[in-house]
Amino acid sequence: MVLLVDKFVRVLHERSMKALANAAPTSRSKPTMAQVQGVLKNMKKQGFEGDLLVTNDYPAVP
Amino acid sequence: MNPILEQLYPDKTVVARRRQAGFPPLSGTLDAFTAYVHDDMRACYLNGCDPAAIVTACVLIDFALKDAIHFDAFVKAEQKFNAKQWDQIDGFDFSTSINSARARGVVNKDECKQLHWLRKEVRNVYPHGQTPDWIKNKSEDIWEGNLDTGDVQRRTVSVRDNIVLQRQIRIVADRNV
Repeated sequence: MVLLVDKFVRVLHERSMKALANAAPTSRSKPTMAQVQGVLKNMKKQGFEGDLLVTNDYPAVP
Repeated sequence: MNPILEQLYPDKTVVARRRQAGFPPLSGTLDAFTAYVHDDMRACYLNGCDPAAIVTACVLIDFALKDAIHFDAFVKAEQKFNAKQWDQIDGFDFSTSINSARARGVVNKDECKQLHWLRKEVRNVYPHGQTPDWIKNKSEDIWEGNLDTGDVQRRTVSVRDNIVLQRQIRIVADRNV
């Protein structure tokens, strides 16, 4: 049963990743990882010292 | 390892076998919470803590399925988070989640059947302290002794008629998680 759940979680995750990768090229407004890293760099320059970044979006493939 | 389980059904190699079979953590997961619960399930399983692994698996499949449904909706909605829609998905009971996942094509027909089996036989019974029918419907060959006469006989009994047998079978079933 545990292995069945494990299989499901992996399959669902893989499908989600694939769906995101397929959708990313058509979504021009999506932030890229480079943009996120740029913003993070600027935050650090201004004194941000946190060790966790929470977004309300999934960055597109760079 | 659970000492009661080990006393009743000793299997010194179960942990080694499970570890040898390989059970990697999730990698590159989109949902940190799913990965977090998955890792707990994995740790329980790999250390022979079977009831904890089963309960955690029941929680995990619920979260993971809702996450997959939401992610499907999120991608189809030009990747914009819709709090109202998420609240609706988040409120699904497990059966609604499975049917929604099937309707959206998140899971196929066979997977849908497996998930409903999981719902009915494990997820809806185990965490609620119920004994599933597949255990109660079993028959077992037992040795029965009469304490007054000393007579013994071998006979087949219905597990439904014997709560001690039901509990024992549950322990064996847990070992085969």
